[in-house]
Amino acid sequence: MLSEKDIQGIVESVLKELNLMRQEGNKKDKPAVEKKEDVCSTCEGEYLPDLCEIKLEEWALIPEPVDREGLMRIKKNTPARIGLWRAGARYKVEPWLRFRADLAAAKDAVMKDVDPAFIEELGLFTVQTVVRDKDEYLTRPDLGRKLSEEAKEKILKECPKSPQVQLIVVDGLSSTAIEANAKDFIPSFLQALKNYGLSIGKPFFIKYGRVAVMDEVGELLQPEVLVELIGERPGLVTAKSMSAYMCYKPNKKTIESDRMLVSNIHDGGLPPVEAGAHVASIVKKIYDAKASGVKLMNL
Amino acid sequence: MSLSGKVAPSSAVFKPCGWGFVFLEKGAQVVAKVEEILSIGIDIGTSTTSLIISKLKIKNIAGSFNAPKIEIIEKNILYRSDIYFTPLIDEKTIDFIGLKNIIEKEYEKARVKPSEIKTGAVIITGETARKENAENILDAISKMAGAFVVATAGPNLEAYLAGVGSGAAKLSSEMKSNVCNVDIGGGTTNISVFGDGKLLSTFCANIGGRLIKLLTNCKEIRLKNVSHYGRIVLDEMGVVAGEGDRVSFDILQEFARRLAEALLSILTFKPNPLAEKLAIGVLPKEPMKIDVVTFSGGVGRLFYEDEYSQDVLLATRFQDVGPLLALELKKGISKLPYKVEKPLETIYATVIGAGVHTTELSGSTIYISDPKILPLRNIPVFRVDNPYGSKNEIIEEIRRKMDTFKNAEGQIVPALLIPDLNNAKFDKIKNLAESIFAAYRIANQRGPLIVICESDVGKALGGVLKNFCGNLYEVISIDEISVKEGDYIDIGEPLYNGSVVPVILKTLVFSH
Repeated sequence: MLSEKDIQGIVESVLKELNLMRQEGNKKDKPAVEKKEDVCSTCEGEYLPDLCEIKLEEWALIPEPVDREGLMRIKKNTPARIGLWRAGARYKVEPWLRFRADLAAAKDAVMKDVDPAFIEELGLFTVQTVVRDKDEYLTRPDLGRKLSEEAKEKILKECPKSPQVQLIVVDGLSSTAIEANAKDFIPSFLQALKNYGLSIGKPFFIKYGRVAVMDEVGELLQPEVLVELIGERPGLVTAKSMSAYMCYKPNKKTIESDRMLVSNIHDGGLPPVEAGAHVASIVKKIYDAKASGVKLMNL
Repeated sequence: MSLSGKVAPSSAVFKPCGWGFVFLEKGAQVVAKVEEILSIGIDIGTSTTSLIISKLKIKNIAGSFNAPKIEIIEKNILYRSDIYFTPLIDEKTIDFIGLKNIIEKEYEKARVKPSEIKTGAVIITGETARKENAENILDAISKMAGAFVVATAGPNLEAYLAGVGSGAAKLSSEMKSNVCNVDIGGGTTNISVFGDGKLLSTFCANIGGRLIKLLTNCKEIRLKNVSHYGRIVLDEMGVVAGEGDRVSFDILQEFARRLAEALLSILTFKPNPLAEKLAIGVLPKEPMKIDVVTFSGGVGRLFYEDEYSQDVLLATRFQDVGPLLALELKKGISKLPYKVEKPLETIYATVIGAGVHTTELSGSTIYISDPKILPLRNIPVFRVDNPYGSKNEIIEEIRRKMDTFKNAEGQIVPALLIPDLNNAKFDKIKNLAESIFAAYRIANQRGPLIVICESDVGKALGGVLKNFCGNLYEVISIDEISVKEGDYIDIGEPLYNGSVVPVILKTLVFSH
């Protein structure tokens, strides 16, 4: 894999070339970055434009479109990479670099660990599944669902049993998502739970965890409702998207249709603060109905 | 009495089904509930009164793994009333009993009970809004018409409603051009301009088919009644004849021609002296881009459908100058560089706007501590300009604004508009909630505490607020509604299992 430095080097050289081409009088094609580049040239190339700052919903590179307004209206509806034109059969340089940059952010989100200082700031303690490292985590999803013996002991020691609601935070496939959203989600969630008169056990963090790790936690602590925050598999639009899974009394026999999910929690989707309040209202429904997932919807 | 012969009700068989009538619609993968509510529109105009009943379908359009997004997915008109002359006791007073009878009769014909109507609007338009008892009538009618039927009036709002009701707004987005809808009634003409479905401008003038009313028979035409603005036009023509006097058909034709000229001068943004005298508010003089013109209202219908007879008896069959005005417009509009299209609706445009297009839904994650305090009516909106300020700054701002409102209107219950909290952080929201609560306590403000958030944080902010308020205030926190300071809103009872509330905006929003 390319290191960050390598990428920066490539970006720099390509952009230099681009700038040269521009100065040679090719002023017709003007993407949304042009303004930034003007700034750059005055800084004598000290700063490169950050291609990641361009909004994909507003980035159209089709030269002289018949109906620009219509094109922009279509673009507004999706961050998908459409209307970015081409060079021969390939992407143009800027969209291609942006693609590489987004892919790199997605890979980082998967490969990086959640910062232990961040976990501490949230007031959580950390346990680990039986997974030993990232490689094993990615290649053995089954192991990400099992808590280590050490983890089980620690959980039993630290947490009160049979709480009304138990919250766990799991890294899943995006550590970035947890770092971006948990801090605002949790206090909003706790506050809303309090309004519903629900009490909560002691929340904690699970490293190298998959969604179904909640079943083991359920067996250990026997909560009425379990809420699990987990980083979603990152895409090219955002690496910061978090999900909240909810389940009534999760255990070894829990099947996927028992779980409920609010996904797309990030600033560009459902804001984490609002998600906290929204998830709490679903928890209240689950608690009252003593059922979750398809069972709850069929009541 | 029906103005225009029989107007057949919508051909669909009408089955009343009130709120709470809920069924499941099987989609390809998702089974989402569709809820139906009935909405009414009542338009009490200068010359005519009509009502329509429509059905709004509400559905959660978000996928099952996302937070709900509940929207109005379909609007169908179920029933159109006959068109009645607006009952008047005399020139200054509306006949409430007469009006009540009309509405009750039409409810009966539509086989709908007021208790089944969940939303909608009653509007008093044109000259009628200036009658002495207009406000009381509006209030009384809105109360008898259904649980959450609101009363509104004002020429600019009418212009907007006529524009969306006629279909001009939709036409502008379909044709990707600027469409100008000209709604000509008995006493006023309300003009709205739309571009890509959005309202760009409205303006109004006292031009209509019944500025003078006639008494005609085979032998002669007499002026039965001359309105204030009718007099202005006659004076301009140098005609001294007044109420009861005989007038010639030529004079009527000239009268209509002058009105048409004035109206066309407004549409070309060069209002002539007569137009200036008939203006309501200010007429625009800066030319706007207009591609298409549509006509609606009673005269609008005549514009497209009349046979344009020069025959005296036919042209004066409504005892007014409406048909002549339509004829003169038809002659004059061809000289303007605008394309003329027939809108979907003409005479029903305003009432359809009122019945079908006034209800908006809030965002779908909201907080309402006690649904029983809804509906709430006529809530003034004021904006918290600096929601990220320090506690003292926020308290100071809210108190200052509450004071100005208090001076003007006595103790009122306002709604606080919270501008876009870009990437809202929990501690900021907590700070904001605490400050709002403190400001309310210090000012000894009456509850409930209502906030409207521009960004999707209604449920979070509401919950935090309620935590501070305890039992002191009920809290209503809604989001994703576009309002601005100085607007008045009505908030209805929650729909869709309490997920959303209908909101009706009383003031006009321009989308620039």
